[in-house]
Amino acid sequence: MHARTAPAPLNSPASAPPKDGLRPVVLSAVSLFCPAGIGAAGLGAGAPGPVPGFKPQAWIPDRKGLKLMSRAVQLGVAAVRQALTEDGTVEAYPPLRRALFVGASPQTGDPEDLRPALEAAFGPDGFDLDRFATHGIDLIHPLWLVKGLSNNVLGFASAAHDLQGTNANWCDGEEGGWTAIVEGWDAVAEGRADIAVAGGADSLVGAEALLGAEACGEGAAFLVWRAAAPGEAGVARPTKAGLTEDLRPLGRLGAATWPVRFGRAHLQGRTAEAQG
Amino acid sequence: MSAELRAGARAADNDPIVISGVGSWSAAGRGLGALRAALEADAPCWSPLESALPVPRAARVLCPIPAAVEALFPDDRKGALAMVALEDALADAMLSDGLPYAPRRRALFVGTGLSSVTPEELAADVYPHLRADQRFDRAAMARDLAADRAAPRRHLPAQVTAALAARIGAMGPTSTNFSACAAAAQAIAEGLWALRRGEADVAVVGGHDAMIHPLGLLSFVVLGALSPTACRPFDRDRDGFMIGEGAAYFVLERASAVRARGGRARATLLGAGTSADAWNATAPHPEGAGAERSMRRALRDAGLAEDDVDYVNCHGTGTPLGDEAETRAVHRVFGDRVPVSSVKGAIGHTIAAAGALECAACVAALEGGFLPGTVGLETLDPELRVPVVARARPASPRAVISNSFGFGGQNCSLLLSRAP
Amino acid sequence: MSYDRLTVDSLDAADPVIWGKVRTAFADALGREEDEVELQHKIIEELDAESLDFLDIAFRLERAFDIKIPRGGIENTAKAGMGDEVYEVDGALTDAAVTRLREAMPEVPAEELQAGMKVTEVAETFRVATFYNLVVHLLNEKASA
Repeated sequence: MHARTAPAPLNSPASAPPKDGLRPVVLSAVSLFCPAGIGAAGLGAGAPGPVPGFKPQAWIPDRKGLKLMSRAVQLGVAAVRQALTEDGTVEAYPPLRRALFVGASPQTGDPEDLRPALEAAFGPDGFDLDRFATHGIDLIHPLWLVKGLSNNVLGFASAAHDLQGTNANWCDGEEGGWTAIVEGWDAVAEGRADIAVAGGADSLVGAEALLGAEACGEGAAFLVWRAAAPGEAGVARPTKAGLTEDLRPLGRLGAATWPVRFGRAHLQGRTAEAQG
Repeated sequence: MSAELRAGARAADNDPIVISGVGSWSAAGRGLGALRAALEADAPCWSPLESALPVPRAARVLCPIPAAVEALFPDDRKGALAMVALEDALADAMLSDGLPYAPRRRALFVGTGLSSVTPEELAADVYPHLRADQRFDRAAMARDLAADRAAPRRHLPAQVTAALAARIGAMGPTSTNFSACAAAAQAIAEGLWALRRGEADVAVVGGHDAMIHPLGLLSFVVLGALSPTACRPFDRDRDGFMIGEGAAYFVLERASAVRARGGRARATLLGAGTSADAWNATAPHPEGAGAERSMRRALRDAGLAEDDVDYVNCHGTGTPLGDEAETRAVHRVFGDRVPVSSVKGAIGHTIAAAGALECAACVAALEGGFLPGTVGLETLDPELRVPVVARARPASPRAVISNSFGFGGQNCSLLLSRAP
Repeated sequence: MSYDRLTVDSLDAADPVIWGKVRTAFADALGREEDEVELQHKIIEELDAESLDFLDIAFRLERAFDIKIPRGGIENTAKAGMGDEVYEVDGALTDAAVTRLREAMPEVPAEELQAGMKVTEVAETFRVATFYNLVVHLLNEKASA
C-alpha cells in the first residue's frame, strides 16, 4: 500500500510566496578568487597567473580529499566554502533543498601522475606497449581517474556542505560558468531549491601554448542565491547586460570567466543585484 | 508556473513532452531497432578487446563510422558517434531537412565525458617532456601539442557540442553536461525542463562516450572497478562492470507540435529528478539515500505516485556495493512490487552516455511491450530484496524509471511512459 | 634477511625502516600527519579509511617496498588452501576460518575474531600493523624466492 506522493511544500517557512509562479530570489553572497587576489583584494588590477596567496590547506579541511583535488578543483571548493560562510544560512535549509551548479574545467588526470608508468614503458626502441602492459600499468595510481574527474568541484563541495539537492556540472568552455549562475537563480525561483550555490572554477596557468599563446590565469567565484524572506525584494533573472569588464589583463580564466566577471562587478556595486 | 506547482497538474497534462525521434548506437548495433532486438533476445553484445594490455572485455561498437562524419571528427571517435546518433534521431523524427522552429527556440543538451588517449599518444605527447631533473615540463608539452591541432581537440569536448548545435541550427540554450555517469540523463532532464519553462520549443538531448580507449579502460582497471570476466548485475558473484561505448540522442517536443507537423511520438517523458549523495566524493552512499531521493524527485516532478511505476531500469553496474545500495533504495521507494533489471551486462557501462542509452532501452521496452532482462545474471544475490527480471518478458508497464548515478555522487532518474 | 611479524604484544618491536615507510604510506594516503598514525590504530574506525583508501595504501606500499600486493591479499593469505565452503557459511566465518585468521593476523586481539562474524567485518579489525605484517610477509617471500 503506497501513499500518493504529495508535492513537497513549495516554500521553506522563511521564504516569500510566489508571484506568477516564480518566487523572489535574493543574492546573498559572492566569493571571488582571481589573479588579483581573494575577496575584496581581488577587485583591483592583477597580472595573469596564479591566485596570489592561495593556500589550499587553509580553505579545505578535508585532508584526504585534498590530495585528489587538482588546482582548479581546490579553487572551486574553496570558493564554495567562502560563499557559504559569508551567506551563513545554509544550515537552516534541509539538505535536499540545497542546490549546487558548477561551470567546470574538462580536466584530465595529471600527466605527472603517469610519469612512473611511462618511464617503465620506454625500452631501447622507445615506447613499448608490451612493456607498458607488463611494467607500466602497476605504476598508475589507482585513484588517477578519481583525481581527474571533471565534476570534482561538485563532488567534494556537495559532500563538504551536505548539498543534496538538484545539481549539474557543465564543461562548456567559458559559458559553463554563466549557465551555472542562471540555473542557480532558476532553481530557486521555480521552487526546485531554497538555496543554490552557483559559479565556476578553472586553472589554466601553464596552458598558454596549448591555447594559442594567450596569457592564462586561474580563478573561482560562487554566488549564493536563496529564496527571499517575506518582505524581502527579489532580484531579476541575471543577464549579461552591464557585465562588460575585459578580463584579459588577468589572463584567460576558462570556466571561471563569467563568475569572476560577475563577482568583480558585484563586489564593486556595479551589478543590478548589488544595486537592487 | 513553477515546477513544483505544476506537479499535480502534470499528471493530467494533455500536452505532454514526448520523444519524437531516437538515434542510438551501442554494442547492440546502430538504431533503436537493433537495441530492441538485442534486449528482447537477452543478447550479450560485448566482445573481447584485443590489446596487449591486460584489460578485460569491453562492449564494442561494431558499425563503421561514415566517412563524412569521420572527416568532421578526425581522432575523435566520441564526436563521430554523437553526430551519427544525432542524424539518426533527426531522421527518426522525420526532421532531417530541418527543425520547424525558430533557431532561438531550438535547444541542445549534451552529456559526455573526457576524451581518452591511447598509451602511444600519451607517450608521444607527454614523455618527451619528462625532463632529466624529474620535473614535468608542461609548457613544452603544450607548445608541442599546439603544433598538432588534433591533440587539443581531445581536450575540448564542447567543440562537439558546438558541431551538433550547428547541425540543427540551434541558437537556443545549449550545454555540455559533465556529471560522470549521470551526464546524459541530466542532459535529458535539462531538455525536459527547458521545454516546460518555455525556453525552447524543441530540444535535442542525449549523450555519447567511448572510454574503451586503453587509457580510459586502464583507469577503471587500476581502480578495481572492472570485472575480470563479465558484468553480472545483481548476481551473487558480481565483481564489477565492463566498459561500453555508444551514443543516443532524442528529439523532445510537445505532443501537440509533433501531431501538427505529422510526426509521431515514441514515448512520453514525464519527469526527471536529480540529487547529490553529498556523502563522500569517492564512495557512493551505502544505503542509496541519494538514489532514493532522485527517484522520489522524478515522481514528484511528474506528478505521479510510487504505485504508478511498473519497472525500474537500474543503473545496475554489477559492483558488489553499488547494486546493493541501489536495490535498497528501490525497495524503500517501491517495496517489492516493482521489478528491476540492468542492461549493462548486455551493452556495457557506457559511462557518460549511459543515461541516454538506457533511456533508449526504456523507449524500446515501452514500444515493444516488454521488460528487458539482465544479461550476465546467473545466480541472483539472495540479499537483494527487489524482484529482478533475469530474462526479457512481455509486459505493459504504465510508467518506467531509468536511473543513472555518477562518480562524485550525482544522481538522475528519468520517468517515461508510452506515447500518448 | 627475514623480518618478524608483529603481534598484539610486540608492536614496539617493529623494524624502524619498514615502519617508517608504512607510516608514510598511511599518512599520505589518508591525508594525516605521520605522528597521527600508530601501529595499533584500527584503520577504518580510527583512521577513517574507506575502500578507495585501501587501494591507495596498497599502491604506496607496493611502490615503497617493490612488492606486489594481490587483491584481497590479507584474506587470501588466511584462506590459502582452504575452500570457500570451509571458510564461510552464509557469509559467516567458520571456526576453521577464525583459527586461520588468528594465525594470519597476530596483531589483532584474538577475541575480535569470532566464529559467526560476517566475512565483511574482518576488515574492521585491520590495524596499521596488519599491513606492516603483510609487507613483512611479502618481503620474506621475495627474499626466499
